Amino acid sequence: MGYLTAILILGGINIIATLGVAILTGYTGLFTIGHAGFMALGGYMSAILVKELHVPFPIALLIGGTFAGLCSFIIGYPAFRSRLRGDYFAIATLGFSEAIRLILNNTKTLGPINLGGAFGYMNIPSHTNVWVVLFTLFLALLFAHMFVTSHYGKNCIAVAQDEVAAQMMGVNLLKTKLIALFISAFYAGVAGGLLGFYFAYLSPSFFTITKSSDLLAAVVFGGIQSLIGPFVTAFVLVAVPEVLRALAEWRLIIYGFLFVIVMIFRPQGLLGYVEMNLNFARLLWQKWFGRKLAEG
Amino acid sequence: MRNTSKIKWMGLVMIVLLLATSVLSSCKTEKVLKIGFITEQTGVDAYIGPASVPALQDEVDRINAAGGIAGYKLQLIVYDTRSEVTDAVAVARRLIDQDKVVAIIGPSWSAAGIPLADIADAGKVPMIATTASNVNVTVSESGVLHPYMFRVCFIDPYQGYAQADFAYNKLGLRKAALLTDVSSPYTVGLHQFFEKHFLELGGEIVAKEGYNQGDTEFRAQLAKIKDSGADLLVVDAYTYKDVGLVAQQAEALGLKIQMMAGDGVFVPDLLEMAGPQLEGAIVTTGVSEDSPQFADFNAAFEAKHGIKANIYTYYGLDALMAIEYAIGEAAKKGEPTPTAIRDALETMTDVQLFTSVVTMEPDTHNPHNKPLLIMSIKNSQWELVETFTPK
Amino acid sequence: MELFLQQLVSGVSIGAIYSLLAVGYALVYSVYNFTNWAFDAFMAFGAFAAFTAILWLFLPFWLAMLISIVLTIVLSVGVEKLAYSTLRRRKAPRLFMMISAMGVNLAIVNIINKIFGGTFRKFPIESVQPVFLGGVSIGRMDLIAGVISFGVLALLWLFLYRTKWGLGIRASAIDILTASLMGINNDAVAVIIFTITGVLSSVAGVFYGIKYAVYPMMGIVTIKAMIASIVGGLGSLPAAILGSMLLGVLETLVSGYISSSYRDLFSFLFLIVILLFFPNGLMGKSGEEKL
Repeated sequence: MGYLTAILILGGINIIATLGVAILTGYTGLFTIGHAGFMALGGYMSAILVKELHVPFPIALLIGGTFAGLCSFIIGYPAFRSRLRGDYFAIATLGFSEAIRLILNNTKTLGPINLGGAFGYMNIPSHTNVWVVLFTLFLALLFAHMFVTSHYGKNCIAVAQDEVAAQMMGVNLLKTKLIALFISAFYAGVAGGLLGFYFAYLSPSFFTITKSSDLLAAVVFGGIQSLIGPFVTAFVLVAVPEVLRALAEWRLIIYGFLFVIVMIFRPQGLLGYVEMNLNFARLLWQKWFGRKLAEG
Repeated sequence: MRNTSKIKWMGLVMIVLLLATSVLSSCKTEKVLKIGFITEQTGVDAYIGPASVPALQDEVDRINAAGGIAGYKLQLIVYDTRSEVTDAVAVARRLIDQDKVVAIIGPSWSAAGIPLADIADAGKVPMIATTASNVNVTVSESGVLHPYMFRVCFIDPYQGYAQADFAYNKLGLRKAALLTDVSSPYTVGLHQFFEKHFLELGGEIVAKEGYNQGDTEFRAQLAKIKDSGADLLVVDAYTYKDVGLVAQQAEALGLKIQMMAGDGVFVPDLLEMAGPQLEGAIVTTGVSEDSPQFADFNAAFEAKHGIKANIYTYYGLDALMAIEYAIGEAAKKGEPTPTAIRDALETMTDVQLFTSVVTMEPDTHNPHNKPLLIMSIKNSQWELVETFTPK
Repeated sequence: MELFLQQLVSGVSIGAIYSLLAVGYALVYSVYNFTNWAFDAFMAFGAFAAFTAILWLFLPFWLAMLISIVLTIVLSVGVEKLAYSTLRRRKAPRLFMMISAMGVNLAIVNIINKIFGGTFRKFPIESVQPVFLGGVSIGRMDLIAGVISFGVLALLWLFLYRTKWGLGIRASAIDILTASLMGINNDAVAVIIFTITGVLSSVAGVFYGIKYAVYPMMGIVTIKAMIASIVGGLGSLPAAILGSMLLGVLETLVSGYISSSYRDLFSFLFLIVILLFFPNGLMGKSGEEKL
């Protein structure tokens, strides 16, 4: 049972971070391969707050997330102000994430705090368990859904489709992109925090390019402009490798081919443009109920 | 409409898959003891796994053919960490909760060993790290021993001390330059202890340069080191790749200096990559593939499996044999539960493992006074210079 | 002083390799407005192709190099036809093309990893002693690499500015739709551009392999080339070279005089700072003039 719990927890954390990336890449069209960096920022900040300053766990998570969000402005502002093309932004996020990892590796002590550098930050209180993760996931999903159906979300979609047209309709490009970036970094930061409290240990080696690409892969496969798609694929991408460990060596090769195949044959991903709303539940109910009636 | 049914089917398939695996992996057969092996088969350290897995499997087969231990057959369960700590954690959990192993061999690196020690303690399954040498793997930062974590290799303070001692006393070198992989706890730890002892002896550290795992360009650091007038360059890198590149680039810069490295780079690939450039370099290690004691084993291994055995093979076998011993001891007193095995490991005294006779130190769970070999590279071959034993 | 000169030389030799990659990147970017993430894989492929040609087929270096170039061209154009052209024709959003490119990269690099393993291999040519000028050492191979790189770039320049096809490509860089209206065959342009990409990446791959080692993940250096290209200027070729040289030299100087472990951090900060003050790169114009 412990193993299943581990999958649920790691999967849940992955989903939260992926939802963030979904908002930024899926809805606002900004390609990012650096969200592991935001996870690191949020993770370390929450861990420090709880271990050194004894801040209550939920508040520490929120502050950690906000910290990651604020840090996102460091690349966000120069990038968006100069209308940086999508790919440049991706490179910037990659560079940023690697820079964070570098700084963490090189920083053994921050004033009186022993961050450990490459040794990692140890003895973090272990607060994460299945219920915490599921609850946070629920909140994350709720808020994300509210965001994408609000006019902020519509602005994001407009920006993704055609920046010039959006601008002509009065959408403030800079603000919209920064908000999307902030939220995605916040989500990643919270996920990072949960991860730290789960392992009771944080190491810069957790937050590599591999992690960022895993998040992106979930959004690509799950679908553009959808929350439920990435939600499902994020979980599957954590659970399935466990199940298919025999194929471990082929995993990345398969991912690579899948990326191309998905883009050519089904660019909307698994569940692109499918949004969860009560209709879904209603249809499901009708189907079952309808069948029952037919069987009489 | 189509989307709804698709989701339903997907969900069903997923659940079935998960259930199937859980059921299948918890099927137990009579009197079989499962031993987990956490190793690297893909990812940046993928050269570690392929040489160890066949050796361990051979040993398990050999034991089973002879009837098992105290009537118990052994089963080896191998998982790949992809050279990532998060995966190491996940597979450790899986081995403990899902596969219900009685002992685990691994991990091979300290960055994973530290979190895994906590998991071993919580799951009450003994774990033997093969080549993780950071002190904090078995004894936490606050000085508390991890009851279920052990190792079969020596620790960083020991190796760093030995290196400094040899460099100062035997080689007569006085000015050392350190080129540190700041992203590796192994390297940082070793250099720390080297520096401490070297300064104690009266030496000087004239240059301290750094780099990050994955860097390939060292010319800037090497030029500075050349400029500093150092007579010794210490690169206790985690991987042979770094030392190979450093040697090549030092040659390109005309930097002639005595090089020294630790057991992390003691693999045949290093010689293949930069043998000529490393002529005269010193590498400290716990065991050497060239030791005559392994000659027969190496030949048989390469003939059967087509790849060369390396130190990871030997350490893996050490760990496995320690477990075999512990199972035997535990079985004498009753059922070999993980905790009984742990107890036997802790009190292990003068037990013949694959590489040497080992006594486990009960207060640190490190092997007591494992000999340290000082090797030098001559004509792209390893040559034993001396065996170091602590005073 | 000698130390400074040595660092300078090291920096320039790194810059030369960045240049080859940055130019390839800039070329694809100016015409198609997308980042060819698969460049990474092409480079590794080129290096391994030459490596196997020498090691297993016992071919001399120059022949191996040629074979590598040809094979990489085949790969590059193949990838274009299979992974990119469908999306291009469909006018898919750039995001999709980038993801497709990432997929190609992931697949190819990992196939190479599966076949050859992650070991660092020494490129099978004899090591040559470096040339010493004063106390400063200059790698002989670096000199050759430098000469060949600039030779290739010079040829490229000639092609783009002195031939009709080159004109066609430059026209496509400005506006591919109008260019096709003027009778320029888009598909031919694609083939030519990716052929050039193939040449550049295989040459860069081989020289990188000689300078360091041959291994599946070697293409990661293309990130630096991208940074160099952005710093130099939006898709302009001379700017890409300028950016590469600047990055190579500055990186080495920072590593030598400030801190070696923070070298990559510097590269990234450099990018941010340049973008803050020069949103279109150092030499970039605001997008009207390209190449």
